[in-house]
Amino acid sequence: MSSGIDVNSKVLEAYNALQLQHNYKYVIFKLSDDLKQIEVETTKKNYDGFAWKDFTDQLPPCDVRYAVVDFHFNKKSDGAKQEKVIFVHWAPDNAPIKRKMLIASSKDALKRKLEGLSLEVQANDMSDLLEEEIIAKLDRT
Amino acid sequence: MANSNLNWSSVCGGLYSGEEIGAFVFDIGSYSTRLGVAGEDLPKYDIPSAVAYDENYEEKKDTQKSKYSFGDVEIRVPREGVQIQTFLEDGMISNWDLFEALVDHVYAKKFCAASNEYPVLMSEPSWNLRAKREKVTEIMFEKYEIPGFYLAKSALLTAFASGRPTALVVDVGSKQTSVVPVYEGYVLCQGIVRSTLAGDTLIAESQKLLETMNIDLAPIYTVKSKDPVGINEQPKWTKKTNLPNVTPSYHNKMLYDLLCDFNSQVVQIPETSYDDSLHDNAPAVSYEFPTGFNSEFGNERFRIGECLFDPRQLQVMRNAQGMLSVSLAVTTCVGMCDVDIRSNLYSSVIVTGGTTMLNGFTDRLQYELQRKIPPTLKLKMHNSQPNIQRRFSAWLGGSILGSLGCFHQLWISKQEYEEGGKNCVERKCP
Repeated sequence: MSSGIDVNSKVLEAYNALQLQHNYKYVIFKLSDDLKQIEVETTKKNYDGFAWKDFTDQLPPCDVRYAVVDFHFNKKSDGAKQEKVIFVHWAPDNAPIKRKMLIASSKDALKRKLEGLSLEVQANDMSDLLEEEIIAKLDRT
Repeated sequence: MANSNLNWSSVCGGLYSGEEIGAFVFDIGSYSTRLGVAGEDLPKYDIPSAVAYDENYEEKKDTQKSKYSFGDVEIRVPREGVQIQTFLEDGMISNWDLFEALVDHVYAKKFCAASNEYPVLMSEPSWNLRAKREKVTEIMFEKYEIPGFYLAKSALLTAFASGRPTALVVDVGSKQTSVVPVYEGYVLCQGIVRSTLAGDTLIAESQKLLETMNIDLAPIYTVKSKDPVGINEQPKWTKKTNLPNVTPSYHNKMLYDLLCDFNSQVVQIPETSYDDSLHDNAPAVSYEFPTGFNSEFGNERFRIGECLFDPRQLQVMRNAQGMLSVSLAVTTCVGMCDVDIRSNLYSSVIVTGGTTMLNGFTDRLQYELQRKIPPTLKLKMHNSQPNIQRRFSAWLGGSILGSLGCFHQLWISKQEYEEGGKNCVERKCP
């Protein structure tokens, strides 16, 4: 079951710029105001000294978002540098029920367009977005 | 298709702005049925799924009265030869005559609208049978001539309404407990676990307890007057004398109401396993029966609540089939799902259904699961939702979807039904 909400063409452009060209550190998507489309809200150019917190600070505490992040970490076993693209589904519990319903029922439409994701995180509060946990999950794959 | 879209938006243009369309949302539960208009924040009506019908209606030939009556107040009027029955069995529609009578009533008396003007979004249990899905589709299109229809699994609506495309939906209702795994927006049917240990089991326990205590369980309809008495004193009450000859099903329904009220006010789920000695000092709760008799209940109220988590505490229906404790139902369900998704399910447990509103339910489930699941898995229960949302979560989810302009393309339109027949429901509403 899905909401029938469509994906704006700019979404794929931004995603490819992040996934293929590594131009962006993260991209945040939102529901358009007329609730017909998923569109790009923020794109963040790649920069040195990126901290995970810089990204999580951008997520609104009472509204829903999707995001993709170019995630870098070192493998535990041999310390090898890893680069993975992760998908974040952000639906905090205190967001309005209508927004939560829309973000959950539209995710499939968006995810089907994004190829090459390593991990998906369904986050309902910040405790679902702990950097260590994400690294641990990526490490296992 | 385009044509029918046009119709809906022009019909509802006055009520809804922009692309939003008017649709009716039906959420059918074994205790009550929630009805309302898509886009609203609450269902307009929450009427019992129990329907009263006059078994001698055909003989009486009294055209002034209708055969059926509906609604909280109407079905509770004592009348001779009037049976009370629900149209559901196992959460699925089984008595189609009663179901149609209810839908007739809803359009005529509640919505006061022509059924052929608005599409309908209806919830269904995740284990609904194909034949029943097709039948309800057929009735809605053929008999009610609705312009569009959608059948949505209620567990999915509940998961979505909490912002979770992946979740474990634990629904403890009156007739049964179900645990439904939802993954990436789809119900994993092979993982569904159901248990008959639910609200009604606790009702039977309370009845047994009160009968052993020799408490007169005269339902409210039999009481003419009562005088206040002290605690545990003999009640002073007079019985109504001019009562019609009511049916056993009516009497049982009224008794059930009494016990429901008793349970919601008295029963408490203990924080940890029940222990007579531990709960002897627990605070007692007093309760007054319709006869005016009042008493205090201490450890009994914990013992009854414990049954949901430990069926060995049951006094009645002890050896009944299919009695799984709520926590065992949850772990069994997750155990049947793919290893890779178990951690995702445990980190999004959603609790819903009337019986989960008993005091202490969520905390106890959390405690039980924490003990049972491997420590490497993170357990997260979603219980921040206010009670009103918990009661109506499936309806609310349907209300939001049904009001969405772009959800349009997903309805089964009248034209599609006419071309594809009733089996298009399998394709359009997976």
